[in-house]
Amino acid sequence: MSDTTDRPTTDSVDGLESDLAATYAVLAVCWREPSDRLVAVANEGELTPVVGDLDGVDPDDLRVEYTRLFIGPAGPPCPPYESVYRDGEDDAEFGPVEGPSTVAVRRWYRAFGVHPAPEYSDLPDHIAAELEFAAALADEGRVDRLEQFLDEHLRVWADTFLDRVEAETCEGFYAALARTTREVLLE
Amino acid sequence: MGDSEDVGRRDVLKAGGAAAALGLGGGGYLNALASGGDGASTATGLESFVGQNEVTQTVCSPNCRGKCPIDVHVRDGQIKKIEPHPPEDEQYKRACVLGLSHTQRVYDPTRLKYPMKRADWSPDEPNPTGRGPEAEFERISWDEALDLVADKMQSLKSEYGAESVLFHEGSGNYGQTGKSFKRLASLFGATQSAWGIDTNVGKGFNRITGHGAFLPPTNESEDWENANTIIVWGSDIFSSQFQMDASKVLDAVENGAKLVVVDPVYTTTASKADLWLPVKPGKDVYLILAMMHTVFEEETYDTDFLRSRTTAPALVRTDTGELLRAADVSVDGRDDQVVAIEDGEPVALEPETEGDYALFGEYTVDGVECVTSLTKLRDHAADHAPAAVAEKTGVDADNIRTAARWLATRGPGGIASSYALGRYTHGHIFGQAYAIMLAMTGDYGNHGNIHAHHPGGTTLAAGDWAAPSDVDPGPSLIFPEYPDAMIDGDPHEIRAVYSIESNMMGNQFPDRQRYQNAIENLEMYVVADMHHTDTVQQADIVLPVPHWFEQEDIISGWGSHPHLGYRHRVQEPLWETRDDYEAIRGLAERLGFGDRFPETKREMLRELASRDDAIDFETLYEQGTQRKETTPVVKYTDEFPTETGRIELYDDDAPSEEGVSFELPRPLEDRTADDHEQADEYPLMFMQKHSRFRIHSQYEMVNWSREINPEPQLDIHPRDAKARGIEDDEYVRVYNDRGEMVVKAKYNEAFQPGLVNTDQGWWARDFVEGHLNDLTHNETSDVGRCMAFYDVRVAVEPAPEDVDTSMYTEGNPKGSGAATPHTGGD
Repeated sequence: MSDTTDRPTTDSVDGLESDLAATYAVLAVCWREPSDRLVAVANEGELTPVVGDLDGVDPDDLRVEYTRLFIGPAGPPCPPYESVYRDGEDDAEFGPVEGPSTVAVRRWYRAFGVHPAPEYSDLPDHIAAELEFAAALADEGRVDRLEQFLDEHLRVWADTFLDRVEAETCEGFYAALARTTREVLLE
Repeated sequence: MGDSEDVGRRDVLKAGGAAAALGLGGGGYLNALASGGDGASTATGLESFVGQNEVTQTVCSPNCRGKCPIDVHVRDGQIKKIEPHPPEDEQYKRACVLGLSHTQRVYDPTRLKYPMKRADWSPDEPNPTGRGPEAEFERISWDEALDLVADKMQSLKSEYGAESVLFHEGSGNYGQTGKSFKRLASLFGATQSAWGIDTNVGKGFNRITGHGAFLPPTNESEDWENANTIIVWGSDIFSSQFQMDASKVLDAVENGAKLVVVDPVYTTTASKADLWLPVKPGKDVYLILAMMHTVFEEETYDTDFLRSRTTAPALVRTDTGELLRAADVSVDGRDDQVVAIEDGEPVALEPETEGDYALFGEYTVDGVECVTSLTKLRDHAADHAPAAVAEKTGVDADNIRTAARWLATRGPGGIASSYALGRYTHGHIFGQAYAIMLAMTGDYGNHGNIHAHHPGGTTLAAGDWAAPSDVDPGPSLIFPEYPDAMIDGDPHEIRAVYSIESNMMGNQFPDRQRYQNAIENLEMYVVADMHHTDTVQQADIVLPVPHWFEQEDIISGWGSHPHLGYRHRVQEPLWETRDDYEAIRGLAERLGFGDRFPETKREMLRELASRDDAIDFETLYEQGTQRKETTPVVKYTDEFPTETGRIELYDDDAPSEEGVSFELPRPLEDRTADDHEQADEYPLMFMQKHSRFRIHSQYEMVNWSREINPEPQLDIHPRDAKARGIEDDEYVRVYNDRGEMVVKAKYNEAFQPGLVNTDQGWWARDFVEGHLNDLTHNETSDVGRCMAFYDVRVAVEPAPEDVDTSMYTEGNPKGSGAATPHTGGD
């Protein structure tokens, strides 16, 4: 699948594809651990298309909530990894990390000439990494491949994951982000 | 939040502005991914085909009796399968299903991933009351974490002294890291932890023989097939030690050995025995005295052994109760030598000498009236005839005699004593008693002798590396001393704890409420672990440790088998987990001791291995295991390391407790006593036995075992249950004056009336209410100084109507995903 010869140039990317890329790129950033910049941008109202109108975002609250939902140390209640939702033996249990789905995602990355960055310490099938890859596909105009990747991966597991986030979170930011992500991916 | 009307088409957002504000143009959105470069080469194993696995030999490493070498099969970069790998000496081949379940544990999504700090903790405002189930955490970098810990250690050192920092080490990772932990503690001058669990029996045994710390040494298990009688005392070897020791016991049985099991519980092991002695909890010393009585009565003691290797013939002064010394009377010999009668004449008793010494009788030496030690013991045993103790112990008198007869007359054998005896307050008396019993039967130093329910195994001898001789280490505290030190500064103040390899606040320590109160006095609580245990939830700083397959180490076979094993790394540590050694070395650098720690773990292991002449690092590394040939198979072949060089049957320098002095093994009970002051209020004894589903509280999160072992339960005899109106499978409240728990009652006739049990190893999140360690206590005996988990009384009643059992009764969640975050670690 490692065909890069017909990759469109940046010039040929039309507005739709740019918006598409921007959509996934912004979602990816929002699903990462919140940076100061993200909080600032949110408080400037620039994230309204993603999280609606929030009445101010507190950086500490956001970080603590992100940690609680996705990192731990307890749980976490919403592990943000594809394999956890796809590779379990029983729907009532979390599946493993580094499961067969993770291997498949790695294979997608490799086929398109990307790989987990050396300083990146999380797993390749983290929701933010997959969204980032979707942005990269969109950015390169590979809409057909983007659809295939979404069908094979994000659309398969995001629903369950987003359900858990919506059920668990007490921060408007993540409730709205989950809802918007569901709409973008699944509706 | 905005609704969809505001933002139009939802599969594409008007995200251009946000993207620009976030600086995502020109590939600025890339974070997790990088393009080009050597991407292809970083993906490992993607070209494997069916049947093509990479196999790494490594070692499973909890504190169990396995220390099993295993093969880890990796395909497509994933750990797919675990298999046993026979060690260098194949007769020690072993593995268990918990070890095979590492494919689940290594990829458990709830593993700890990043260093964390409790959100409301800071070095200057530690807010200790913010700890507990509601605590919130922030992710921090390793540098931040180590800076915070090192700075706080330094400031506590200047304010309260270095000993105000406690380095607590558990047993959850059987490698060499603990040595680096002790080394840093020694250099810094911190207080170090001293073991206060499962040391009771060994203390009593040691007083008599000079051997034993936890359980005494015993012949390596390859020799057990030579035993003709095995008395397994208080251990469910066939259930909790799997096949590693069970197979050796069965080898002996196949060779014709008699298997006796002494246990208040009808265990799996008891079900395979020739004779089961269902002793009542805490009555073991009465029982073994009755066995001695039989041996005296039937004169089946080993006369030669008693004369040559024990102080049985040593004279005891009738006036003072002290042993007669050669210097007290006109007998040639040193002042510390005891005196025996040989051919009617007093002689100084040398170690390991075969004289025709008088074993019994009264003698007058230089006007001093004496009796032999063995006479004293016989007189003591005379008060405990089988018929006299049968009712008290719950064991039929004939069966007591049969067990004693088998041990004394069927050739070599032994008593596979267990830690369970030491979980009663005065358990050291049993250690003393059975050391003497085996001396009477001559069961030391021969093939086929057994002295403990697990073999000795071997360790890496690293000399003074852990406690460098050029530094003055700080004091140590025995585990049960922690609360007083934290709360009252007795014997000195503890202001911070750094804990590795231990779920001390969940499973390993009793009286949970008291320990939770105690840690409120800490300004800093640093916990390193692989999983979110109850202890981690109490931490101020969490240091995430990789799975065993992600850290290399040298594994000792202590308590297991005579090999060392090399734990090769199977994969890189996931997330930002780091070997404890790296954290310890990082702290050492910050505290000014960096040059005392080799740069890498490998170098540290090489250094330690070079100190042990019986081990060659390269051989161990290449082979994966190396048998330590210097480990003797048969123990107790040399002179005993006691003052007399002999087993000391009568201890005239004995300690005492509660007015009972232990020159001879005199029974003393704590809460098991029938007339204990709480016997009416809390009539049931409460045990927390080890189960086949856990090694301490490790593997709690493994879904495979939770499928068949989903929740904690109270094993209760139907008679006890019905008397309280408790149905089978009904939730019950178990309580005493310290606390309570709510669990499901399970009718179980294996537990005698008056005794209830909840298997240990559950985390707080698994209980409907409370925790089993809300019931246990932290009181120890003066001699044993060992946590007495089984010496606990409780009452049981049906759970209140309004108890919420939905965690188990609705939807039946199981496994690590079952917990909501707020119940995680309390």
